[in-house]
Amino acid sequence: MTPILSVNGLSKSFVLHNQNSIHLPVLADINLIVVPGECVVLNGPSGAGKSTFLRCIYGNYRVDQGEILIDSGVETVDVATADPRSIIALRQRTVGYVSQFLRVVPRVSTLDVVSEPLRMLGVTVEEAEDRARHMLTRLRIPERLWPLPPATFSGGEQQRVNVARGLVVSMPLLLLDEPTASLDTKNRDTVIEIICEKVDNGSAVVGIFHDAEVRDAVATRTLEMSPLTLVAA
Amino acid sequence: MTRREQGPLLRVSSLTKNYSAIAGCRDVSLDIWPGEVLGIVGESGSGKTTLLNCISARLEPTMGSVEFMTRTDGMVDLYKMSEASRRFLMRTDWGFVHQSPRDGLRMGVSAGGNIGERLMAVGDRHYGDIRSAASDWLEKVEFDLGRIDHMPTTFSGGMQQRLQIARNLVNGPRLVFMDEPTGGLDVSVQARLLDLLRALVSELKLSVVIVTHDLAVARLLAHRLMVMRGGEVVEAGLTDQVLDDPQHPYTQLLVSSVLQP
Amino acid sequence: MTGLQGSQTRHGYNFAYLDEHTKRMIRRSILKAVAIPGYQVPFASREMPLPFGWGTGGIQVTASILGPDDVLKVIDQGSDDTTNAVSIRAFFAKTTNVRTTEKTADATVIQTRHRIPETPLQPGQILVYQVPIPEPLRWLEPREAETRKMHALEEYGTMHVQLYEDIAKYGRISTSYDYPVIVNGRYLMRPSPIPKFDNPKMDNNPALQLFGAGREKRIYAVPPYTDVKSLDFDDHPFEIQQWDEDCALCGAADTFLDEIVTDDKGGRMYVCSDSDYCGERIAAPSAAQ
Repeated sequence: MTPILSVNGLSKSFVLHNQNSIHLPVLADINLIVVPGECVVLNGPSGAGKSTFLRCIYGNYRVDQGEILIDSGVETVDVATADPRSIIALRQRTVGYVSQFLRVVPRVSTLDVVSEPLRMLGVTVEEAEDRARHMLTRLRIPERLWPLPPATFSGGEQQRVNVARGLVVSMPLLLLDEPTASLDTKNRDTVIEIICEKVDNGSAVVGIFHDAEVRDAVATRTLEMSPLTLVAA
Repeated sequence: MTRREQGPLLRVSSLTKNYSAIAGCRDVSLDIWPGEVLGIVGESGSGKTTLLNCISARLEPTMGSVEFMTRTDGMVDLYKMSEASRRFLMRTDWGFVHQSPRDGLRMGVSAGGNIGERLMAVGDRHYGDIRSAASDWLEKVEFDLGRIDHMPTTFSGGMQQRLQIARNLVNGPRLVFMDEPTGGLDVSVQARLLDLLRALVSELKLSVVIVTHDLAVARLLAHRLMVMRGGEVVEAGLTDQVLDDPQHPYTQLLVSSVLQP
Repeated sequence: MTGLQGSQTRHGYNFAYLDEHTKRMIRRSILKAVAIPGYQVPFASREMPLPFGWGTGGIQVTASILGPDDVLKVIDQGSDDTTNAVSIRAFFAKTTNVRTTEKTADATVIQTRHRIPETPLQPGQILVYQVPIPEPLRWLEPREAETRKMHALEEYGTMHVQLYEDIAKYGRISTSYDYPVIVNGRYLMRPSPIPKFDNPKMDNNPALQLFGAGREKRIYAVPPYTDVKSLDFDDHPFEIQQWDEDCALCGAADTFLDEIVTDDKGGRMYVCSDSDYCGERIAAPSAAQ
């Protein structure tokens, strides 16, 4: 089966020019191959570079070395070197990302926040809103909150809106960064359910879950990561 | 033909504009594709406004070229076109939203007249149709229809700016240039305006080049970002990538300087 | 009275006041204007013995085209006997000794302020208009460089904005004088503050129409038999003024009427603005139908 994601020899460091140009290596020579139907959980302590790794795959962070090959169904794109427009196209149809925090846009209603990724794909407003409502209901966001912008919601509510937005489109590859943090048990279980459904339907997931129970429920395998020492590899 | 095969809407090659010994902008190249928003950020004196004026046919560059994909004649060099063609393009296929609404509106003409002027400039001669088109656009920019006959001097800054946007969009342009469109507005007004711009850009599939010094505006509206300093582009790429993982020292400085309330 | 011929002077003034070189310059401008109907030709406007704003442009045009055999009529708002008309007519009589008249039909050159005579003009006649502001786009665009470009590139859609504003404000196009026109299908022109009632007379007129703006230093022209079309909207077509009354003196039903207040109890009467036309009708009622 063709891998949906192939990471080869990925290395990344940060250079903080305004702090005496400190050089902070975070990832060194990471390799990972993911095929559809897998859920790979990134394991490791804080500072191991797990979030950084996800952001590199999404094109949010740049890489120093290596390839990040993603199969878009039409072609193979190397996120490490692709032009911005290719990455935007990839993010619309192939790679989804649920971050730890919801970036709040003022004045946009919860329903619009969640239905937007569908509308951007050309889905009709009616269908997009329908599917958004379905997702919001599943995640137990009360209907009275749907017309409101999420800025004033509780942390848990915001996180569920974030998850809803990230999962409303069926993406072949999903990158999840602590999607169940700040959720209670019921909602956590719902998110697990949704993730398992997607994996069963053939999506691939690369995720970070600090909660061991969640890890065990969704993972098909794990990748161990550890913080780099400052001694060069 | 897929979108990727269509080619860029605007192609800028090695653009340089010198003001005697000072470089307004130096050796800038960029492409703008249909449906995308390019943000140009930088501080005062970075050359971003000079660049915007050069690529919007308002200022002839010293060197380099600006080519536009016209509807019927393919890729045309803007500064080799006849002035008549260029002016026509600026009224129909392009929009330019000025930082100060006074520069982009006729202050002695009513709101409806300001929008209608663009239609009359391309030959519309039916009063009723012109007025109803103007009304439609005023509604789209959330402007009180009851004030369609009022003079812009009686409007608030936010209203003037929304009127300017409507005036620029009425002829269905494919490319809109914006120079700090939310500068000088109250924060709540700014938020509303940015929302409006986001919605219009996605609904109308506009290409937009927006110059701003405000990184939050850039993050909200732009797909791609170019950071300018001293007339040069120091960094360019995906908006979230430039702002979350800035590579160039100046970009890092800019990003870290932004105050979070 | 000694007759003046060609370049003979009277009290040190040349025929028609202006020196021959100036007249030549103005005639060159006139030729240019006639060659490009409706286009504003800049000219070196001279100081005349009446202030700017009183018809110096019209006077310079008339002075440049008058010859000893011409017959001159001067009207002001249709009338031969107002102060200005009388002064200007006397001025030309003094400096040229040409024959003057009040009869439209007898004149070869007619200088007018703000009206076109009711009597239809004939081939060979010249109508000289006094123009205050020649630029029709000035109200919308104060920059001269920009208005010149708009004329050059035929960017006239914005002129309709003025008409749009009228309809929005008053429900109809309220511009009632100095109503903008398109000449020969090309140039946008201001016909001077004649009532819009007179606009149709400019269209395909057998006479040569010359326009002089002295303060603004522009001359323009409409050659004989040229199309002159008044601007309008498809759903608000151009209309001329109507009155409910006929002329109280001569009974004409199709002329431009002045309203004259007769007493302080609200009494008023409506009288032809064109005094010559009205007089003719009164003198020979059957002949002047």
